[in-house]
Amino acid sequence: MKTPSARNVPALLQALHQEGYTGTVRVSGVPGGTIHLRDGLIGAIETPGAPTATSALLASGRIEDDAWLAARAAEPDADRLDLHLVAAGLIGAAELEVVCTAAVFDGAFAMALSPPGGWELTEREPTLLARPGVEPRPLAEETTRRMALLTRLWGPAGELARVRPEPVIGDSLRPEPVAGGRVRSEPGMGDPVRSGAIAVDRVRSEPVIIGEAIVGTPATGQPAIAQPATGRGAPEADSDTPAADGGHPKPGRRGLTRRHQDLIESVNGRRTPRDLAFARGRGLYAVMLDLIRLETLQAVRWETGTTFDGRPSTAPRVLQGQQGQQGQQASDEPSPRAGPLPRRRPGEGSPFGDLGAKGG
Amino acid sequence: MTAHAPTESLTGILASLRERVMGVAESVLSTVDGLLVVADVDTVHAESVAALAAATLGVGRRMADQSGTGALREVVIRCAAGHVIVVAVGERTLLTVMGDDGLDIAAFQRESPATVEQLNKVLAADVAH
Repeated sequence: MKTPSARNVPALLQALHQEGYTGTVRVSGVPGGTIHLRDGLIGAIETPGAPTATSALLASGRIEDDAWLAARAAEPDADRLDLHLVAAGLIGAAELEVVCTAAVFDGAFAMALSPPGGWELTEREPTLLARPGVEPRPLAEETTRRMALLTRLWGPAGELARVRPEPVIGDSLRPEPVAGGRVRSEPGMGDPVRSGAIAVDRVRSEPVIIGEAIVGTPATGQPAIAQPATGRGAPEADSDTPAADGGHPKPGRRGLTRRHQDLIESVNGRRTPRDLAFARGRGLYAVMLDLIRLETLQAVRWETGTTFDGRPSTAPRVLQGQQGQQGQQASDEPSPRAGPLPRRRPGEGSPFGDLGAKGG
Repeated sequence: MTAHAPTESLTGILASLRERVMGVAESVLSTVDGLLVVADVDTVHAESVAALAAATLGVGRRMADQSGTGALREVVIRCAAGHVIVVAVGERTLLTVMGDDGLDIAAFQRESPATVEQLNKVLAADVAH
């Protein structure tokens, strides 16, 4: 398989978009992933890092397993499965489009959390597709925006992806959280940008939709597409739309929506945001935003830096709110360069093993 | 206290596997006769998984034998919302790993030989004297 000489995955996708490529891009790395293109548009992204549309539909219970298996049997070409699901009345066309498009954005976000390895192009592999698909540029822009937003709200997204939150015991005794919380729900704020791909992505970055909102749609009678009416940019807009829960928080924990309570029930000190996303059939990005909010409300907590990483991160650390003051910090805070780097000495070989050995 | 050290490092190895392979949720180390050794679990019943692991691997081995497809590597059970993998650890123990729908099976197959080797080393102490 030929590999175009692109400098990174977004550039590769842009090049493939321009030539109207249909096929599969396999990206290696941890975890890596598989990007499905149809006529240059991204129809699906499969990665261990985030639930696919299929996972979201089945894990959330939106489509029953038996009905799913029957649909798979009736439509052997997975590329056309979406048409069959709609024709069979299992899900509405707009709703399915929202779920599938949301999964594309979420998959791209998950893959961006760790540095990609190389890639190879392979032939088309049938899979459940977003129709018509997502253009690479808005996908890259939205991924960048999400990273930036998480960094602003909490810190490096890559670190947030590794936390293992646990519920705070006695949480129900807390005072009304909205009163003291930094993050409040203000559904009215934000500009109603609704055009083009951004609008779709607003819809979709409400991964809420992947999970409970869509599940709740038949009951509440609200079209799922109504979700994007919330603003953009603010965390509350992304994570805490009352409409997503039908606006009926349970009385048990005041100020927490049903969605938040469901998330708290899944939090157990072992699961990462990614694990929670799979467990609940929701988007990874939405789960991360919810976790930030729940941490602010002191409904969940986690310890950072105690993960079983095996070695410390070598990423540069910038303390929040202290940019520009590094000079004063130097004596108090450990410098990223404080630890000695591994050294090679003549005759001792590489400290990482004999990677460069010749001839064995 | 040599009586406790091996248990701690065994659970450490299991927890480390969970850290390194995306999607691994729980794991159980058991003997080939179905008894629990250690577990890194949250919701599953470790003793039951231990018993079923022995049966699963036994059936898998016989099926591999019968079908003439070579030595059994592992048994992968694919379910609607996740995976269960059973792999032999030496002659006397089994490792069962439960993961979600997004379990990175390629990463698991990359990491599991080293994990099995580590478990083997610790377990070897049981018969060293």
